[in-house]
Amino acid sequence: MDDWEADFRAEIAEFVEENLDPEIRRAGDLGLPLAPQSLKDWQTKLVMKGWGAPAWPKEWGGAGWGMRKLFLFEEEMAAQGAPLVGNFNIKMLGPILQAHGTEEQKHHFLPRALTFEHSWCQGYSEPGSGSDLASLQTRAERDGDAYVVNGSKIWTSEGHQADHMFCLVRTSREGRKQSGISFLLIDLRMAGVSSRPIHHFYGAHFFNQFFFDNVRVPVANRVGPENAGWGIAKSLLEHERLFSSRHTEARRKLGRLKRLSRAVHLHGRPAIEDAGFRVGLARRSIELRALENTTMRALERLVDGGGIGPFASVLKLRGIEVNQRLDAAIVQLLGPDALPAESAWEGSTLADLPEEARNAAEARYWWRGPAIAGGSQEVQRGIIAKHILNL
Amino acid sequence: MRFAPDEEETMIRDMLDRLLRDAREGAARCDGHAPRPDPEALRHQLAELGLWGGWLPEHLGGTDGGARLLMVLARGLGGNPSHCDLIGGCVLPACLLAQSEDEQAHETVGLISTGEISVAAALLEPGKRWDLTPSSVRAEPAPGGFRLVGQKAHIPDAVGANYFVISAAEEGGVSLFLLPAETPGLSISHYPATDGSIWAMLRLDDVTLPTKARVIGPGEGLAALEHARALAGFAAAAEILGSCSAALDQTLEYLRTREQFGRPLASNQALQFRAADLHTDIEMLRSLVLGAANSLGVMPADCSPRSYSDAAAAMATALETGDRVAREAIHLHGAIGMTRELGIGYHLLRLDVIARWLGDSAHFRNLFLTANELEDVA
Repeated sequence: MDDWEADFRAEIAEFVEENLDPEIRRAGDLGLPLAPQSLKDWQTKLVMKGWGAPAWPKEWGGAGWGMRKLFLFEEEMAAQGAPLVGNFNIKMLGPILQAHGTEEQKHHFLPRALTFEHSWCQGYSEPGSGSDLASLQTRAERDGDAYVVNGSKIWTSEGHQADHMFCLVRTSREGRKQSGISFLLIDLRMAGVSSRPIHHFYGAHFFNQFFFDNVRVPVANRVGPENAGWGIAKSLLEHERLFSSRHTEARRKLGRLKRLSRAVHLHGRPAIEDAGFRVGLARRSIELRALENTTMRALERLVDGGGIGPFASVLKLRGIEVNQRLDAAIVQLLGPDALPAESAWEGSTLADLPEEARNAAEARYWWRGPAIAGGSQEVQRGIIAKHILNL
Repeated sequence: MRFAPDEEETMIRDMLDRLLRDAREGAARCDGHAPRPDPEALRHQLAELGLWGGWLPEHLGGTDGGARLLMVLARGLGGNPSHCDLIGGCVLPACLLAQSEDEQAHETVGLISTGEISVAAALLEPGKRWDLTPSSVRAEPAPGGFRLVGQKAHIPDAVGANYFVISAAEEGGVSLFLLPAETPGLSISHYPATDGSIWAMLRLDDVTLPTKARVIGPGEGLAALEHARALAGFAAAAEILGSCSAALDQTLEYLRTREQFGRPLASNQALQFRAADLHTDIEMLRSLVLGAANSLGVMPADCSPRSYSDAAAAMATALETGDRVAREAIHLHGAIGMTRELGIGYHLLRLDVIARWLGDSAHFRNLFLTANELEDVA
């Protein structure tokens, strides 16, 4: 490790130590959802330090760092237990507006996205358009200086906590299905917008469905030219694709498993001393190391000036698997202590259980989702077969 | 340190691939298995290019290429199977002797490095799997030196060996001895292993040796053996990585060209997905081998607990991935995959021999955990 890297990691550790509420860190270790206000408070501290949106250009409050420093920043933040904030505001909307937005859009939306005055969600999937996203049907028809939007968006993550949505709408039925799509910014407080929660199978409220009934969206809220939305949505920053591996989350899960292995007893001794448990622990640790090294290889490619390309599919495919196996190992080790639902922990009757048991089962259930979202595991395998293996 | 190869490393890789391809061209097939170029000639060729022992420190006849060069060499040999046992014929004996303080041992390392002599490492004993602490072979003080008795088993690359490095139990620990192959009292018998390679069993009946034959004393023997096992395991992981890549490449080519039901096999999604999973497994293995190449030192002084956990992680993964890829390579070829004529099955034969000889994945997972716990403490 270079000297600046060690110094930088130390600076991050110190900042987190001084500024992060230990309760929030604890919740993050357990994979618990965080209240919007806690996230906003944390973002405020990051913005004051100049770390609110490090990948953005300096003129919009970014840090102007190189690829490697950005990567180290996120990795170390996660290692220190800081929550990942502003996925939609900072990582998705920001770069898209900076690349394709008008001056007015940038001046209006970027500062508000940075401070979380606005909270964004993503409107891509539709009831009939999942993996085949380009078949989307929500239509936007020109009427003077507005688009009239009709249709529905579904699987909207954290949409119930958002007041704005960036979304893909159909503005043309001519030609290829990809070429009739535009990128719109919608204020969800407008007339004609309604929504309903969609609960995960185990009860959590994460997804939502939105309905648009003659919603009049100003044409000024279109990003980029009409019918150019598909390319814009796909132009996610390359460095974000490094985190397809979800290696930082897996690292925290391994930490949780190791802590638990000292608290839970098997045959009268801490699990960490049990030969059977150790086989699984070694497997999980080795897979994670392979995943971390692979992520660093992808980073090297980026820094060297090449794209990650289909290598991101390798990262995602294995990253999800490694995370899911760690989730299963945690629940398996807990055994009956993983019985209580998360809601049961609100009272005090469970005080004698290891606190690491909290939300263990739900975290496992939640992680079924990432294997489906953002291109399912099967879509990733297809990309590898076609674009890497030339099959 | 970077993961990606620099220009020099790429050049060496390509040069090695060319050399091994040429050597395999027209070489006799060993008992129907992979081509076997004359081992001694190949060793000399590799040594002339500074590859055979190039990973050793300069003062021991190498070029200071370190684990990174060892990786390139072993991976190349895995990708171009040629029955050339780098690990048994070079890595193990040279790594053990390099850890000696003895000048004669260092000279011997120099001769191994240049390919001039062949030294075999006799470390295993019957019925003890991969236990490095000998109990059959014992060394006792004798007038002018030592007297050795007992049995050693499963010695690689022993045909034509000029010397043996032998581990022996001695009062106070494990010692290592270097002795000429023609030493009286030493009887060698050979057997073929399942991959066509020739192995040896060794009996020591009242072998008397001068004091200077003991190159590592009972205080340091076990540590020296453990370090050598880590380096050998790492080289084996790199070899298996090369083997996996070659086996998958050959299989993919077959899937693209072989037609059934009027279309290429490659158009079947079930086969595409299997290939994608194998590719992903191999990339993970590559990442671990590269990580170990960057952290492992040739000498113990250049190693930390992380070096050893990296090496063990690479080998534990290599054994599982190698097994999966080798089996799938046979299966995806269909009936022709079963044949000696095609030879794709050689990857499984060699993988199995490595696993039985150096230790299975469970063995290396345990080594990983031990080193990993030291890391966590540090």
